[in-house]
Amino acid sequence: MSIRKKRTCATCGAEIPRSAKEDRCDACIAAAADKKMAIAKIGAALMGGAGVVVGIALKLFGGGKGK
Amino acid sequence: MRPIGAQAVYEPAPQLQFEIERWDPRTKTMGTRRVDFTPEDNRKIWDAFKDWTWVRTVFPAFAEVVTGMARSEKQWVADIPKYYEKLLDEGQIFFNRDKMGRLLPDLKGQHGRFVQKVRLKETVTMPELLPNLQHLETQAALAMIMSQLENVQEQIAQIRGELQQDRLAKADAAWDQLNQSLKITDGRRREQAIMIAIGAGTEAKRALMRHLHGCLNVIEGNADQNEAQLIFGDLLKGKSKKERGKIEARMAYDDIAGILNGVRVETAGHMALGDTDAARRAMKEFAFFIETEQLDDRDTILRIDSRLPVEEKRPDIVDEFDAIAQRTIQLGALSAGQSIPEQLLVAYRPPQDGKDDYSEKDDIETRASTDDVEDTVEAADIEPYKEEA
Repeated sequence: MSIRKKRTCATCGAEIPRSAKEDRCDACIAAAADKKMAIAKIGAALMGGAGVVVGIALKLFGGGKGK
Repeated sequence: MRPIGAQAVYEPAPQLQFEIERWDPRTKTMGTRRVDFTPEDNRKIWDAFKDWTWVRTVFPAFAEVVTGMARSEKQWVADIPKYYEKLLDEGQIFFNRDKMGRLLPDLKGQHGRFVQKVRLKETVTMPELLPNLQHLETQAALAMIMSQLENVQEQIAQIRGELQQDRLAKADAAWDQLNQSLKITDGRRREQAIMIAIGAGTEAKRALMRHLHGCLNVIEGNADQNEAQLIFGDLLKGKSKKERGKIEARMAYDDIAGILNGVRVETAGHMALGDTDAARRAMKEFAFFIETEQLDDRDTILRIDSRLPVEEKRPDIVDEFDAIAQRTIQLGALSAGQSIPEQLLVAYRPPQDGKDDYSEKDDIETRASTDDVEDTVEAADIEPYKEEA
C-alpha cells in the first residue's frame, strides 16, 4: 500500500491538489491578488493625486517666476 | 416486566450486542469492543423480529435467506469408497441399471460381474442459500454506500448557495416523493408511486450531471492561475475570473449533493421494490459518471474545494466523497453472482486527526498502478457513460 503525503496550502493550511502548480489554494491566491489589486488601485489614485498637486504647484510657482 | 421468579413461562432471550470502535490515544490504534444492548432495546428488537409479516416487509432479503434456509432438500447420495470411485472414473466398473435404464446402487465390472453394493448417505442441501446470502451482502453494501451518500449530501447542504434552485428542487422533490410513496399502504399504488419517484430522481440526476460537467470544465480551465494572471484577467476582462471560479465551485458542490440525492432515490426505490439488480445498475451508472468525470481522483474534488474561502472549505466532504467514489467503482465493477468484498460491508470511518497521509487504496482490484496519479478503473461488463456534446 502506497502512502502519499497531502499537499497543503502555505497560507491557510487546507489540502490542495497534488498536481497544483502553486503552493497555495486558489482561494488564497485570489485573496492575495485582490489585496495587490487594492494596493495598486490606491497607489494609482495617490500617484494621480500627487501628479495633480505637483502640476498645480508647478503652475503656481512657474507662473510667479514668469512675471 | 415481572421478576423471573413470578413468571409462569420461561423463554430463551437472545442477547444482542453491538460493536463500537474506539480510538486509543495511548497506543494510537483503533480498538473494537462489544457492548450488550440494554434489556429494553433488546426486547423491542426481538419483539419486532417475532412478527414475520413485518420482517418480510422491512427486510425482504433477510426473509428470503431465512426461507431459503428452511427450504432444505433431502437427498440420498451414494457413499462410494475411494478405491471404487477411482475404478468408476477409469471406466473399469459401472453402476448397475434397471430395465428402464435408471441407476441402481450396485457396482458391476466390465463383464457384468457384481463388484460392490453401494451404501447410501442422507444429505441435506440448501440450494438457494448461497445466492440469497449474496443478495443480502449486496443489499448491505448498497446500504453502506447509501448512508455515505446521505452524509455527504447533508454536509454539502450546510454550505449550499442560492443558485440553480430549480434543478436541485427536482432532486429534493424526487426524494420526498419516494418517502411519501413508501408510506402508501396499497401495494399496487405504492409500487406505481415508487416508480414515478425513481423516474423523477433519474431525470434530476442526469440534469445535474450535465451541469456538473460544465462546472468542472470551468474550474479546470481556471485552475492553477497565479496572482499575476488573475490581476491581468481582472484588468483585461473586467469580470474577475477568480470570482467566477468560486461560484462554479459552490454550484459543483450543489450539483454533487443533488446527484447523490438522485442516486439515493434510484437505489432506495429499486431496493424497496425488491429489485436489487436494478439498484446495482443505478450504482453502476453512478460509477461510470464518477469515472468519466474523474471524481475518483482526489484532485478533482480538491480543485473544487480549493476555490472556496477558508471558512467554506470542507475537507471532511473531500475525504468521504473520495471513499464513496472508491466504493461505488468497486461495487460497480463486480459482476452478478460475485461475492461482495469485505471492505464494502464495513461502515465508513473518517481518517483520524493528525493522520496526515492517505493511502492509495491498493486493495481495490480495479485500480491501476500505484505510481500513476491519473489512475483509471477498468469496469467489467458495462457500457461507458458518454457525455453528449
